[in-house]
Amino acid sequence: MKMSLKNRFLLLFVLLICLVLIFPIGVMIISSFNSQDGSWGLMNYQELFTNHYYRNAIGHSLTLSLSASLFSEVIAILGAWSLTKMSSSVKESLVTIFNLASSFAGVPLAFSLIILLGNSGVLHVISKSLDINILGSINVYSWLGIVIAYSFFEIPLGILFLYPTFEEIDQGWKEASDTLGVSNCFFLKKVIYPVLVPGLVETLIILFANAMGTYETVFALTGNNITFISTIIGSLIGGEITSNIPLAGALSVVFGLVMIALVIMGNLLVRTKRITEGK
Amino acid sequence: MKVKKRTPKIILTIIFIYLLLPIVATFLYSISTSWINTVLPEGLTFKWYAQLVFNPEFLNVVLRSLVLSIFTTILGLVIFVPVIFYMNIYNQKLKAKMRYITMLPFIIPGIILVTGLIQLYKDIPIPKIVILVMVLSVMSLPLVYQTLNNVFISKDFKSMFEQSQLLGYGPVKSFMFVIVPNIKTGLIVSTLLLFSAGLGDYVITNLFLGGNYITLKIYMYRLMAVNGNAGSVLTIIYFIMLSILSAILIRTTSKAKKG
Amino acid sequence: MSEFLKIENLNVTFGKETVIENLNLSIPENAITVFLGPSGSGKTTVLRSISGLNRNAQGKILLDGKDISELPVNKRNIGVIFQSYALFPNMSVFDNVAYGLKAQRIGKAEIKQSVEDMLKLVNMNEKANSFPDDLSGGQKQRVAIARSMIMKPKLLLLDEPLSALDAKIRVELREQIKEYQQKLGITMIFVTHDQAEAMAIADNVVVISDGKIQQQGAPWDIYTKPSNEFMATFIGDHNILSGSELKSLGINNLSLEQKYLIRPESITLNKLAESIADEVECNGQIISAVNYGNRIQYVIAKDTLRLKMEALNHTLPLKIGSQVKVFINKAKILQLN
Repeated sequence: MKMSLKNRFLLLFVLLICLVLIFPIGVMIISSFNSQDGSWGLMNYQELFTNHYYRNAIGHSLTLSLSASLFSEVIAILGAWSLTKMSSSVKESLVTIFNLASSFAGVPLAFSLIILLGNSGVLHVISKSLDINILGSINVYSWLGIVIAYSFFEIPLGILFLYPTFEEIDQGWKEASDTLGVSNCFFLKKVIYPVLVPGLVETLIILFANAMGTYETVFALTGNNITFISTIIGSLIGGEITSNIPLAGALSVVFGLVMIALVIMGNLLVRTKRITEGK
Repeated sequence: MKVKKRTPKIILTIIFIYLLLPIVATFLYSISTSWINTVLPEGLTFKWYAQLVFNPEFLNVVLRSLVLSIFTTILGLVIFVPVIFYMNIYNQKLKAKMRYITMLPFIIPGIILVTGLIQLYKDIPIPKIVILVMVLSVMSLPLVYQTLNNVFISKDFKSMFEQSQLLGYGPVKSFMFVIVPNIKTGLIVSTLLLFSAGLGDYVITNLFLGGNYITLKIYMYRLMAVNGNAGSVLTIIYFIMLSILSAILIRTTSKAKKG
Repeated sequence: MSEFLKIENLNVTFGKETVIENLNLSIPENAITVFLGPSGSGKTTVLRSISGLNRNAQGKILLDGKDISELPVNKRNIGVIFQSYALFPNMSVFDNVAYGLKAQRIGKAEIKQSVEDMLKLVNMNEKANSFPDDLSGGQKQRVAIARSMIMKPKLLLLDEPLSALDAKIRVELREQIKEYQQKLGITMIFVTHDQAEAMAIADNVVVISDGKIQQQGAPWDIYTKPSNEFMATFIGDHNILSGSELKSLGINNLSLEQKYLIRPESITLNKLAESIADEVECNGQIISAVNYGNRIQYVIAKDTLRLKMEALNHTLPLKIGSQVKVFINKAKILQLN
């Protein structure tokens, strides 16, 4: 039977998705139940949850992502709110800049930060020559350094996601103030809560997931030295001696489940808020 | 309640400076002769730029990145545009199901995907670079899908496509003459998104190809350790490339909104 | 030739749902045939099957004696006008109309001449260099019609072409389409759900409902001789009464179990002239009066029965509640099957 043109394209598309998305993930899940010596079972998962090294890494990833996303969200809220007060031409160029900043992540960001904050970085040089301590205790390779590093792409990302929400609120504010006798409480209930809260939650989840998935920036900053889920996976699949791909698969499965749970949770939270307040 | 105009301005200025600080420092570093014990660099020079740009290795790296980006873009456009068109026009049921699949690359970070890719393709004799091009185009599917989807629901493309065939053209010609010229904005944005995906990837390219195919970002990472000056130059060049891409992107979309 | 287009055993299914089952139909050449039916009745599906746009269609379609069922859309030489105009926004009015000719091997000068002639016919020659976005809805549809007519299609299908337009433009364009048809001698099938539009434009009406043909014929016959109760109620205003109900009005010798149709215009009120032999007279009370400008529609109650009737608005309107004499023309009572 001759296949129609559209079916051929559809087949190519499905094949593409399977080859680079479905099959690799499938193989990864299956082999996560396989040990390096060839036996089958839950040993990889057992290893992950009993070995302190991995448990700590999971803990590190969660707490670091939470601190980075919370910090960035707070700044992003201020930024997004301020952005709505600007004239439209300023808005447009700022959106361009934030868009650019959010994609300037990974190796180049890490490198720039090392030049700015590193041991022989620009700020160090300046503070040494002036003989004052500008940097305080900020160390770019430390916990705080990583939170700061993440903030460079998470703040603009947060602003880009929150900005439409704040524009909506701005409209609502105008309408509310046009209607006489509107109390603050009413405004809070009808405008702030139903519009703002889902937007904030949604953005926080996106920022958190984004921080969890970040590998390139941490790796470029610290190598595989700091133990996060993503860097451990990196060293398990890339390192010559420590290489253990089935274990990396198991860690990836756990990681993937956390991400999916997050996205579902976010959807549910946002949806229930919208339904209860939508009346 | 009146908000003073100054507060938002101050906030945005602070954020702006904060975000720009690393890139400014990198730029200054890249044009300084030496900057070790002084408040400001001892002298300014473009010799690091000349050194990097005339290095044949650098040209090879740029070429490799371009090849990767261009193939990723071509593959993505050739497959996604007709398929997303078809799903929108003829198969809404399929479209509803596909929505979840198109979101997958958004949820799954590159570091997870690369674990599976390494396992699946370790013994299969397909050139890994071919797989990489496929992976990178699929990684930008969520944004490309969203962009094209918005374009396809904006007009009655189904009737236009059908009308062209009624007037005597085959489906391929109809698509080229009647659909493509009317989705230019979507195509430009998709091209930029796919191109940036090719240009900006580090994780998958590095881990999947085992560092054998040195792109801009991998080269940058290696320079970091050996030559700070050259590395800072490369970072600035990369930044300029990104700026151009995102400027075109925003210009195109805002023009489309106004028009 | 009364079988210019012949459809034999057309079957259309979407997934598990059968939309059209064993449909047979013939339509005449050089005339406007209207497919009339409520929305969702399958009339557009039949249209898309004829044009080849619907690929789920099974059955035989003969156009001018040739089997076209297996031909792809671009080889059938059938034009379709869509409700949404489907003009190409990237091309000027001229280029839109010239588009189909460019696919054929025709000289530039010749194309230019035909397009100009066609634009003149639809009165759009002054807008040749405009773009679709700058045109009104009526203008867009005229360009779309020109674009299809220039191909000299064997058959032109119009799928609710006027539904997106204002009432006034709709009537104007309807007349123009009829004029184009007569000038160019094109065979047309016009799909609509609007019965007034159908009656005004059609030479031949095909009423479709639930994927089946309910009745086919001239507009006059469709109205005066409806084949069943659906037809009686779908076209025109109506009173449907059973034989026993009619008996209570004084009309005897009808089958008591059957249903009968009385059109509102077969009923008159308070006549001054002598009643002719065919009429039955009874008393009733006006319970509702709606003024449509040139005519008034009354609803008259007689015991539990309700009768709709219409009067021209040249006498003083009757008040609600007033007692009237009702005359029913017995010859116009129609038995329904």
